[in-house]
Amino acid sequence: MASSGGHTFKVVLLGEGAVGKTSLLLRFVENKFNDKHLTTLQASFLNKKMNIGGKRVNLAIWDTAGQERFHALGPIYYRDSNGAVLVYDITDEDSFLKVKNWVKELRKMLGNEISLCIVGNKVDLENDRHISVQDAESYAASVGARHYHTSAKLNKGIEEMFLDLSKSMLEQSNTHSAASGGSSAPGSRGGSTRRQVVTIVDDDDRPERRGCCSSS
Amino acid sequence: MASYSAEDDFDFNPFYHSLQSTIFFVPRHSSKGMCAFKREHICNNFLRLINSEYLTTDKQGSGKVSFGGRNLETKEGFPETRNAEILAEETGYNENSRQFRILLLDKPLLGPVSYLVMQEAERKICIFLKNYMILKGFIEDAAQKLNHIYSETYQAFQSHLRLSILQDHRALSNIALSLESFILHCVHDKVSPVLHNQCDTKNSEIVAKLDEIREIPRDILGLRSVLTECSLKSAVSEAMKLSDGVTPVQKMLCIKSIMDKITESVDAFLLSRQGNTQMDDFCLTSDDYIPLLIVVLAEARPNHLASEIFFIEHFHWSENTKDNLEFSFVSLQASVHYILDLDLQKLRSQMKSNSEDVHLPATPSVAMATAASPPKSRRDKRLDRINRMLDKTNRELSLMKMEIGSTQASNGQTSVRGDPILGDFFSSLQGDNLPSCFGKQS
Repeated sequence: MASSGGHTFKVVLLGEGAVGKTSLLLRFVENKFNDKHLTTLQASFLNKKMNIGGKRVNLAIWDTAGQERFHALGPIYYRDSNGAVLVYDITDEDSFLKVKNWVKELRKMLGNEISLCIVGNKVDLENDRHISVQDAESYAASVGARHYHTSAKLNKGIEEMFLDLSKSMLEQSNTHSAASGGSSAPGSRGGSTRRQVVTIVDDDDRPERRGCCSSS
Repeated sequence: MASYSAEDDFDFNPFYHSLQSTIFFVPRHSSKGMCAFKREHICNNFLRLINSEYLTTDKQGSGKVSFGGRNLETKEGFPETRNAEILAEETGYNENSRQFRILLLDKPLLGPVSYLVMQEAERKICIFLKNYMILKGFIEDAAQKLNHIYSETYQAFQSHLRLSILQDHRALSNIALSLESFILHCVHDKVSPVLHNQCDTKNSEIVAKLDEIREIPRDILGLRSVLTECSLKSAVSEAMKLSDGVTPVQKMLCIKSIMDKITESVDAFLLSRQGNTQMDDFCLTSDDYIPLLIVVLAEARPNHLASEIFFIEHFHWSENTKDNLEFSFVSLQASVHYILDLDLQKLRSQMKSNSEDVHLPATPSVAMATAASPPKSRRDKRLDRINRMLDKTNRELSLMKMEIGSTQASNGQTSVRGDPILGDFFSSLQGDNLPSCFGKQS
């Protein structure tokens, strides 16, 4: 949404538990990694403001629950997202498979309007790598996503990844505005059904379920 | 009928004081739209008698007014027909000692735009309240109807706003939120009972689940072990206020406050246990907030949780979907979904097995492990892989043994420990009791 010459984008962080989503977020927004905090950090929702090519960009970054048991709650979190950062651990094959599942689900639910970044985190553990660079990059290219290598520990590649993602979302936003002949009226949701929840079940063949509070 | 009071004296009337010259109509001090008059509004309150018709003195001079007894009615040239009551009359003289009349009216002939727009919105809401019947199962239609009133009023506002305001997203957002809250304040008593009625079954289902969840230990619900003893009283009392809010924004602020209280409670708890090295870099993630919210809800036991969520989903039209308020609401939604999907039977079995096998490393079923285990580290995953390999080897070994046993039986041989046919390695394995399952270690 453009506002006062600026844009607010919702970015959702997805990935298996313990791949480093929260560390990436904290490193990017607060430049912290395993730091000693004076107070408990609320690390599930953070804002980051950037200036890109004279445009003010506000990233509202939603960190999602990574545990497997919360997987079905994903759609509640990624609804209306402009971008998604899909994180895997380069030393963990399973986490890369999870990313592939997320990509499949996001493309199915949100189409091509969402900008995707696939991130191989923990490159500081290069010696223990289980996912080859070539495999990861060719997969990302095949699904229209960008691939990055990061290390929250060494503060490597994170800024670049979020910057490229923001540029991609800006492009997407401009294309969308041009296609729709201008942005919709600010302050209007444009309909009450947008907020209804659809949960994803793991089995692709099973039908989608409506939210707990939907009447139909 | 409006009546004249001491407060209406011209001495205290800002409109009167702002003019200082010839005045014809003065709206009463307490009337709506008294503030923020523009020049054109003032001009519309001066009349000239031309050809036996009273016309306003603005540049176009097109506004026509008619008198009838103690009332005055706006005609052509005004955006709306308005009846104003004459409360009092005084005589004035200009610099040339020419006499003019001052009439005190109960409302301005032409108010500020916001007043007109809101008056129109009020009219539509009145029609909705009087004529619209909300039936159980059709509350979404009522939401659409109200959303329509909201959109029309918002657009009317927009068409009169200055460019600087139109470009200010925060100002627009405030207008939109105020408008939404105004409409929902007006219709709350009509919508709320039907809403609760419609969500009654789901509300009861959630309450029943929460009652059962209260009996489940926190660690089984997925709370980090370090947080199982954390007191969440302040968040619980906040959650009890969820139904107090009338508008979606009030409810969302309450949800945000619950989240904040959770963070504060965790913070206070960890501070009270300083010295524990685990707490130095503590971050609360969504993996923590969901079980924490579930614990809070189970304690607070809100009776209309499904209604509240439905209300926000369908009646909150104005705010963007990316801010912290929205995130808090989504976290609550996620928690309620999780509560409804929670297999309590499995959790109870886990409780039972935990209490029985206190001293033994449990071998949880896959479902139980999924339900309560924390995210696996790389080390755990490696151990899992090794376990799977060993398991597979074990099964292959059993098969081999069976095949060898059947071969020996067919050859009339008896299986003896340390059979030279197997060789030393397999013979020694035969004697080892490899566990059939190694479980998940963490």
